Amino acid sequence: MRRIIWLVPLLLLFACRQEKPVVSFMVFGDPAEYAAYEALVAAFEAENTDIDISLTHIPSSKDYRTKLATDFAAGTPPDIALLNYRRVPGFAAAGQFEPLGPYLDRSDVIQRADFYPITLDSFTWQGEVVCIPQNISSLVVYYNRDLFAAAGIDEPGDDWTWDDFLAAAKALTLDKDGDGTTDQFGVGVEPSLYRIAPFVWQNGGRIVDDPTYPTQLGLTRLPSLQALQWFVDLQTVHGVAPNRLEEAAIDSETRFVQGTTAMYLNSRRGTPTYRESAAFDWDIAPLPRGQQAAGILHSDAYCLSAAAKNKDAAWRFIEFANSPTGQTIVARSGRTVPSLIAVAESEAFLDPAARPARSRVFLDTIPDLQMVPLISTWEEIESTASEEIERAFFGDITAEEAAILARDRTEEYFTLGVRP
Amino acid sequence: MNRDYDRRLRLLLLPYAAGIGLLFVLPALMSFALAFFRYDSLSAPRFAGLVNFSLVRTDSLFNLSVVNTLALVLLPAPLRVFGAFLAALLARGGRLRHLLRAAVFLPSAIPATAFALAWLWILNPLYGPLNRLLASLSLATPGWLADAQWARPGLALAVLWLVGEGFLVCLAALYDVPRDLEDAAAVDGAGAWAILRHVLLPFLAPVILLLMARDAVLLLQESFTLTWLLTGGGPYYATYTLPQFIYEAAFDRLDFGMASAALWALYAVTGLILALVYTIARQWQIGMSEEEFLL
Repeated sequence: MRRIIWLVPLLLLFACRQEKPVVSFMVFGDPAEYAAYEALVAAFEAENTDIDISLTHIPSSKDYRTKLATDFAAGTPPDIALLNYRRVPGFAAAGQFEPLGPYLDRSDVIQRADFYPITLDSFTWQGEVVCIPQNISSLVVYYNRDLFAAAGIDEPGDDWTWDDFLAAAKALTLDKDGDGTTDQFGVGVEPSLYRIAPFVWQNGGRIVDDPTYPTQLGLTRLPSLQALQWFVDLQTVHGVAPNRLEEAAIDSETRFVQGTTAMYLNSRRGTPTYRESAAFDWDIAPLPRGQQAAGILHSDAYCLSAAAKNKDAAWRFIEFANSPTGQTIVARSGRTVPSLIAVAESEAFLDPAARPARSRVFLDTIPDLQMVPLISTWEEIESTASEEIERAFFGDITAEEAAILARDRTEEYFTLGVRP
Repeated sequence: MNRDYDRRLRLLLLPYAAGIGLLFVLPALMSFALAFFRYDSLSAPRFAGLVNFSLVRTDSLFNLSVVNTLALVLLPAPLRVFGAFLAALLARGGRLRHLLRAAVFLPSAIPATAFALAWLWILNPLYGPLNRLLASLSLATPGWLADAQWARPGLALAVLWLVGEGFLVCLAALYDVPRDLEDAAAVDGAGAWAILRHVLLPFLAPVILLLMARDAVLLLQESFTLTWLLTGGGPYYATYTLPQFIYEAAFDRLDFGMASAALWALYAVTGLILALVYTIARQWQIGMSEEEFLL
C-alpha cells in the first residue's frame, strides 16, 4: 500500500504535464545535426510555454523513412516530420500530409516571397504547397585544404572543370609508403543516382526520359551515359576513389574526416559533423562543370501529418521553425542553407568565423539548381538504380550495362508511380 | 495428488500460452487471411484471391531470397549443433570447465547488435584481425562481407559462435548419461572414440535431433538481425534472405498482402524442415515413445 501512495504525486505530475498540447516532431541526422533541433525546440518552448514539443531522432535517413511509413500505417504518425522533397510524393500521394499552402497564406510571420522559389516548387503537390521548406542545400565538393597545400596544387576555383577535378584528384591520390596500396584518396563519393544526376545534367543529359512526365530512366542516352562513364572511371580507370574493399573497410566520409581523402562530395548536411570532428583546415567548392553548370537541389521541409490532433499548435511550431529566428538557430549549427532568402544572406549562414569559408558557393549556384522529378515511387527508383550504379562504380559491370539494368529494373516503379 | 499437480502446472503455463496465442498464433492466422488481400494499411483491403502468391512466386528476388535462406540454414545448423555437442563434451569435466562453459555461452549472451558490430570488425577486409591473421600465415584474404562470393561464408562463420543454448542442453543431457555405462564400456576395453560412438551418441541422439530442428527454425528467422546489420542483404543480394524480403515488402513498400504470402512461404519452409527431422527421428526409432518425443 505504501508503495502505491508513492505513485500518487507521480501520477499527478503526469496528469499536469498532459494538460499542455504535446506536438511530436521527428527528425533524422547525425548527432551534431540533432543538437540543432534540440536548440530549436528549446527556443520555441521558451517563447510558447503552452505547447510541449516531443522530439524524436532517427540517425539513418533510410530507417527514418521506414519508421515514418510504419507509423503512418499504424495510424500513429508524428505530428511533424522533417522530410526530403524526394520522399514527400510517396506520402503526399496517399494524402497523409495536411497541405500547408493555406496556412502559409494566412501567416503574419512568413510569406511565399520570403523563400527561394525552387524550394517551394519542390514541395508542391497537385498545385498546393504541402510542406514548408527548411533549406536549399545542394551537392558541393568538401576539400581538405591542408592536403591541397601539401600536394602543392591550387585550390578549386569557382569555375573549375571536370578535367581540373580529375587532375586534382590524381595529384591527391598517394601511396605514401610505396607498399602498393593507396594511403590517400583524391575523391570520396557515394555511387548513387542522386550523386551522378548533376553530372548527367552538366553533360546535357537527363536522368529520366521526360522531366515533366517521367516514364523511364534516361541514363542509356548518349550524353547521360557519357557522364555516368566519366563518373565510374574515377574509380575503375583512375583509381582516385576507394574500391569496394577499401570502401567497405573504411567508408569515404570517415576517410575524409580522418584526413586520408582529399575531396568528399556531400551536401550542407556534412558541415556540423566536419566542424566537430575534422582536425584540419577544410572548405567547400562548387561541383566542377561539364559542358554546362548544373547542381542538384537537396531540400528538406517540415510536413504536418493529416492525422495530427492539434494542427494549430503544430503549425505554430512549423511557423516558428521557418521564421527568421527559427531558421537562424538551425543555420548557426551549420546544418542548413536557409530557404529564407534573408537568413541565407545573413551572417548566421555566411559567418566568416565558421567553416566553410566559402559558404557563399551554396547561394551563388542556386540559379543552376535542378531537381529530381516528383513521383510517388522515386525512393524505389533511386535505390534500385543506385544498386546498379554502385556495381559499375566498383567494376562489376560496365557503365552501359548499369544504365540498361537500372532502366529495366525501375520500369515498373514508373508504371506504379503517382505524379503530381 | 498427481492430477492436482498437473493442473497447477497447466495453470502456471496459462499466461505464456495466452501470450503466445495472442502475440504469435493470432497474428499468424490473421496474416494468413491477409495473404489473400491487397492491403497497404492506408486504404481498405481488397480481396485478391491468389494474386499475392503468384506475385511472390514470380518475383525473382523472392526466389533468390529462398535460396539464400536455405544456404544460411542447411550448413550452419548441423555445424552449430555439432559444435555445441563437442563443446559440452569438453566442458563436462576437467579443471578449466567453468572457464570453458562461460566462454562458450558468452557469445549467446551478448546483444545481437553488439555481436554484429564485433563481427563487422573481425571481418573487415583490410583491417580486421581475421584477415591480418590469414595474411601473416600467407593465406588468401577474402573480402568477406564486401565480396559477393564470401559474404555468405562470412555470415555463417559469425553464426557458428551462437551455440550457447544448444550447449547447455547438451551439457545437461550428458550429465544424464549414467556414469556406470561409461565405466562398464571402459572395462570392456572401449576407448574414448568407442564410448562416444556407442554410449554417448545414442543417448544424446534425441536431444541432438531436437536441437537440430530448433536450430534450423531459429536460423530461418535469426539470420535477419545479422544480415541486416552486417550486409543489409548485399553485396548485390548475395545475402538477401526471406525475412528481409518480408520486412521490405511490408515496411518499405507497405505491401502487406505480398509480405503475408511470403511469410506463409517461410512457414512452409519451416514446416518442411521440421517434417524432415521428424521423419528421420521416426526412422531411427530413437529410444523414446512418440509422446515423449513430441514433448
